[in-house]
Amino acid sequence: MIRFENVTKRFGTHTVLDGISYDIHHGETFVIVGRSGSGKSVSLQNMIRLLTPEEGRVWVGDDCISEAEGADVTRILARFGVLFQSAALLQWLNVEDNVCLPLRQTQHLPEDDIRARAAEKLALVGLEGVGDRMPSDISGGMRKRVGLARAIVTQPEIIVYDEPTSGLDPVISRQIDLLIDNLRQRLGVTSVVVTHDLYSALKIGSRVAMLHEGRFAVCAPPEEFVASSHPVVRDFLRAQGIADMDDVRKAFDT
Amino acid sequence: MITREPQIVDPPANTFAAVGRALIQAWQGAGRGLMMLLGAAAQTPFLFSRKNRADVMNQLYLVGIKSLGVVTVVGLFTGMILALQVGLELRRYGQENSIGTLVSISMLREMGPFMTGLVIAASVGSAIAAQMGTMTVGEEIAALDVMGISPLRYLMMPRLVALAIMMPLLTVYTNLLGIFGGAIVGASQLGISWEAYFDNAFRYAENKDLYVGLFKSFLFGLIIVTVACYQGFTATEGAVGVGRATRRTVITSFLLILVVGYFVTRLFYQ
Amino acid sequence: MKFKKQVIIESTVGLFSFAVLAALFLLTVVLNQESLFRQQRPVEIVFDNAMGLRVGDVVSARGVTVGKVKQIDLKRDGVHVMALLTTGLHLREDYIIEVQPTSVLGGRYLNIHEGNPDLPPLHPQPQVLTGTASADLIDSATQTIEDIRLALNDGILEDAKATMTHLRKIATRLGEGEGTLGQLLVDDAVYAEVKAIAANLREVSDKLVKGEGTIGKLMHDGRLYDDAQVVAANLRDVSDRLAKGEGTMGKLLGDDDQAYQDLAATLTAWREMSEAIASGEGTLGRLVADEEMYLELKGLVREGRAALDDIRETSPITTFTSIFFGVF
Repeated sequence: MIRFENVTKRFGTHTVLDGISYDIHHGETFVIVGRSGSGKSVSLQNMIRLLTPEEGRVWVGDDCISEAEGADVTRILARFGVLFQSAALLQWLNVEDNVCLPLRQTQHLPEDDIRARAAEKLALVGLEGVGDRMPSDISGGMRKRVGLARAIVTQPEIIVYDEPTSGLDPVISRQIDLLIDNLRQRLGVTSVVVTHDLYSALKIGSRVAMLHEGRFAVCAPPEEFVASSHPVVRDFLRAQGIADMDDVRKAFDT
Repeated sequence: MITREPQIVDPPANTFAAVGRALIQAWQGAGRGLMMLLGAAAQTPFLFSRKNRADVMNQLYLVGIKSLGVVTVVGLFTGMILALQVGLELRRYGQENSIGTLVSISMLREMGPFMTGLVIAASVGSAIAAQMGTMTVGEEIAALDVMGISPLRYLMMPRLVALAIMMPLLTVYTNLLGIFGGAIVGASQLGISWEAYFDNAFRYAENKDLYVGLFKSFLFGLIIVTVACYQGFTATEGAVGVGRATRRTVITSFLLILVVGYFVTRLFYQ
Repeated sequence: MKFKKQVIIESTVGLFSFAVLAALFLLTVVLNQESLFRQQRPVEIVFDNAMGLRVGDVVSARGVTVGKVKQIDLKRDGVHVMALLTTGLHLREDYIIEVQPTSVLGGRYLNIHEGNPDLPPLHPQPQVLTGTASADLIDSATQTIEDIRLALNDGILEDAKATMTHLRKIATRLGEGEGTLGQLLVDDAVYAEVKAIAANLREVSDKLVKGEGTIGKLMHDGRLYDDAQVVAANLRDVSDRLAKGEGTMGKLLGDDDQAYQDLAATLTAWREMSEAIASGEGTLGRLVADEEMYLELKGLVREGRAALDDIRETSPITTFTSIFFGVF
């Protein structure tokens, strides 16, 4: 579905991604974890063309998004729904208008259809009856969910989550994780998640990849990831107090 | 895509390299700003489309109506100051009756568009830069790009239309208030009757003065919106970057208004 | 709620735009100074020199603004000025159209003198009217000063110097009691006679000042001073000749006492004559008293002037006097 081919990204003399290659399969949830500044967001931005690699290519299906131009970029990007770290809601539009925005601006649909679809997606993320509120009047967690509703309102094939749980308390974070998992099951979409929260990663990921010094230290399903003997992974797991998958399950049981 | 990845280059080797790089960057910026202006102008056919109509109307309201207060004060006092300064000087030659002409011609040709331009650059221009800058650093512009919504069409075009329409209208308003302000000073301080003042004011001014002034203010509108959007869309580094974008918008707009104003005058009055 | 807000915004913007556009329309009309409903009459006037007239300057007739200059073209036969008038003009044959300065600081307007209303109207009005070159305030002042300077350099100073030298010579000789006039100054009898003559002359001159009689009229007639200039020119000639001892007056200044004797006799006769003039007797007396002779004399003077013109030799003085009288 998405393929990175020897992607190298440099900022000046600093190499962030060093010839990285991986495939994301249709319908899976691919989680990229790593410490701050390890390049996980850069990897994601290369995927949605906010950055282009110095070397290598990024493929989305049969399209090379890293080398596409003009209208092709727009066409390829239409397959994505993106939840930004800050939710990136327009502050002067209320919740409903924010969710309706991509439909209103990019598709020719009757206003009633647009509103119905927005209401449906808002219900899907558990936000009924807040359509009239302004983004500044709702909590961070709600904002993320509005952002998510907006990302899925165009019915994308791929949903990209940039730090979906950052800045949220653990309870809300777990709710968001369950929501992501839920969406994958109900909509059958491919998901790409970038996070530093290992609980989320291990809970929702089909595969979890650890970025370290521009390369993947480990890329494996959650059970294998937890069992990895790679020192960077072990440090990371220890820092978040995870010894095995039971710790993750317990976190979601409460 | 209006969002660009950051250009990271090595620090310049010496002063000459730094100057050269600054020049190249200024040139690049001018080119990109102009491309943005053309891109937004190309979207104006969608002015009345369902998607943009409300935004355009809101921007017209923000630029036109919300600026009326400050434009009123500025226009009135510009005329009053002109009349007082020139009037006192002309009185020495017994020619204070001519202030009507002087005030009306200088308002129509130069001061009206110029003062309106400065007020709008400082108020609306800085507001646009701050808003666009905040949206840029808050990933909202990137989000629009990824959603397939052109920021040029969705954000810049309504502002461009609003300024291109409202700047000349506000200039007409400033001109009238300036001429009226001159009349107040003429009547109260220089002892010139209202009839004599207005007769003088409209006798020697021509339609050319009025419309060249309006053309200028139209250009000023384009300058303000282009500079503000360019600075906003290229803002980086969070709140500091937004502040810098705002400051640069005001400075660059002021300079361009002065320089372009001169060249337009040069073009029409040789 | 939201709908209402949008309606308010739209109405406010619309209202403002319409108000300003209406103001713009009015301003355009006012600045054009064109009445929309009144007919405009185009007039074309050709000048040799437009004297700095500009498009948009006012056209004035009898002190009333009647239109505006619309267009100025430089053509081979002159400067063609197109003006749009709001009223019709009643031009006569001697109409004058000239460019006048608005103030010393600058600015011009087109002034139309329609001409003497007693003359027949200009009919049909020609396609292109002719403008008159008019004096510019500063230009004419500069020209005058230049004329005076030239005249002073070119003869007058020399003439004045020569005249002064002669006068000094005469005064010296008079003071020494030389010649007939010298004796006049020391002889009381002659003094009494001269005094009587002077009294009569004053009477005559009073009449002249009041404009009575032919000579009085002449003095109040503006054209006379042209002739007076010629007389003045001749005076110099006379003073030259006096100094050389030529002619009767020259001899008076000479050493011969005979002339003095003659003068004494003459003065007696002159006194009688001046008394007769004062009382209106004889031809010259009538000249002073009789107004009917004015016209005849005027004709005579005109002929005399024509004759004098031919022998005019002292043009600098003429220029000077014309400037002198011209200024006042």
